[in-house]
Amino acid sequence: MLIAVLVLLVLLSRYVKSFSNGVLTERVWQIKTKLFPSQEYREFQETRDELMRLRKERANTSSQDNFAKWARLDREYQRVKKIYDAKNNEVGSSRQKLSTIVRVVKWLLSTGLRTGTMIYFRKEPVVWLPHGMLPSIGERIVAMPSAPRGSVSASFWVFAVDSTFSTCYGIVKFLKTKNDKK
Amino acid sequence: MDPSINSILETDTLRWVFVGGKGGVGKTTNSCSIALQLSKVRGKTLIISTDPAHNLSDAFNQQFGKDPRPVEGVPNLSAMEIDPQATIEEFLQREGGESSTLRDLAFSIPGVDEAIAFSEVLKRVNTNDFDVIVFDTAPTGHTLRFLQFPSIIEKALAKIKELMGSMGPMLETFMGKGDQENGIFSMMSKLDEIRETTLEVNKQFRDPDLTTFVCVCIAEFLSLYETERMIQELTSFGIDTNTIIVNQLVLPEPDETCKRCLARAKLQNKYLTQIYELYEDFHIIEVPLLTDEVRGVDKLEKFSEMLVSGTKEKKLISL
Repeated sequence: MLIAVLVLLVLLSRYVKSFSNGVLTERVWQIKTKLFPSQEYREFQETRDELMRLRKERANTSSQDNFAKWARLDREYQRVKKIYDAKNNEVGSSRQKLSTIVRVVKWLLSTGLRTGTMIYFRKEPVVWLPHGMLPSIGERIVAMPSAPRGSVSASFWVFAVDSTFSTCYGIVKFLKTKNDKK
Repeated sequence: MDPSINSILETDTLRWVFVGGKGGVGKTTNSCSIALQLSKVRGKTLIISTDPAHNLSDAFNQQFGKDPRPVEGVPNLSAMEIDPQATIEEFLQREGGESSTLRDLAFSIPGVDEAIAFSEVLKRVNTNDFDVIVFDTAPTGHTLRFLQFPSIIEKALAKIKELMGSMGPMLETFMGKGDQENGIFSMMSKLDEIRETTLEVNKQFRDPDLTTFVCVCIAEFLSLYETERMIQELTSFGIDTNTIIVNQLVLPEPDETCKRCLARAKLQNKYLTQIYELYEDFHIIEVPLLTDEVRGVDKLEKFSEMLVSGTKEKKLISL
């Protein structure tokens, strides 16, 4: 049982880690703003739309033939631009906060969870080795830090699974690039 | 709104009148005219040119220098020309002493040169000697920097102070502690002095009872564009502006046949309409293009009357 849980854990950890922080934040941000847009974000969007509208209208007004109208639009544009910049800053800092949260959650789901499990099951034997399969020093190493002698510890198991995945991944990647080159 | 400078002449609390606009639109002629009229109703008036290309001497046909000098033939009016660059060099020679590092440090702050030039002017001119001071400013960009400097220097000084707090001892070590005259602290206190002057001036500049800005432009796109930008910036600084002089308008006679003049007049009319539409709460003064250069007190006098009487009747005056 524990043996399978630990394998899944390593898989999960690798999967979570495979996303970059930026991409993850971006996705979470998109989902969040679509499902639960904050008042702040809605105002930001409105200001942005207004700014775009003004920019377009200003561009469509000839400053030489219709200076008064153009200048009024420009004043309005500058006014809204100021508001927009302020709101953009606010939204940016909200995003920054979200990015921190994402980083923390990501760490908890990968390194945190793995380390926690390893510590929690440090005394549990994951699997028993046939007696005498390894020399005494070897038995001690695979049982590190504190699993019963003659068994494989959670830490060592996680390490072994992780290395195997890492190697397999390396091989697959190597073969793929080689194929692609051909 | 009344198409004349009467509101400026009648506001007897005014102390500072700035005249600004793009180069070549007739700032000097107009600022001299305004000063001339102010000297009649307000008592002692000083006109200062901060444009490095000084025109006051030419306008009045009389040589002026960096100290106020009475204008011949105009009681109550004095004029002076300052060159910001020269003023700074002078300041440096007097105050900077030997330590060039200190100078470099202090003068790397943007706007500090203008600030010093300005505070020097204020030091030299005992402002109590004059009831009202008219500035013939340099073309647009310069003007605005001039007006902005108190806040620039304010920020810069705060930064330096902060730096000094944490690095003072170190700076002292490698720049020399200096004596009372030359040390970094004496430089700081001088800058602080300048800051205080400029802060006070800045406060006055933002008071519409004390300060107003007259925009001079011509009825052309670029001039109009610059004027709008200037007005927006002045508004953002909190400086009062409500007078626009539209200069050099071509006013054709009824039987005019000159095609170019008519075309020009038509074009100017287009922009003039736009000016009235955009600046409906401004005093807009139309001034015709003249056939003579406006030089000398007599001609300026006649010119200035147009600013007072308003030029709605649109007649070509002959100087």
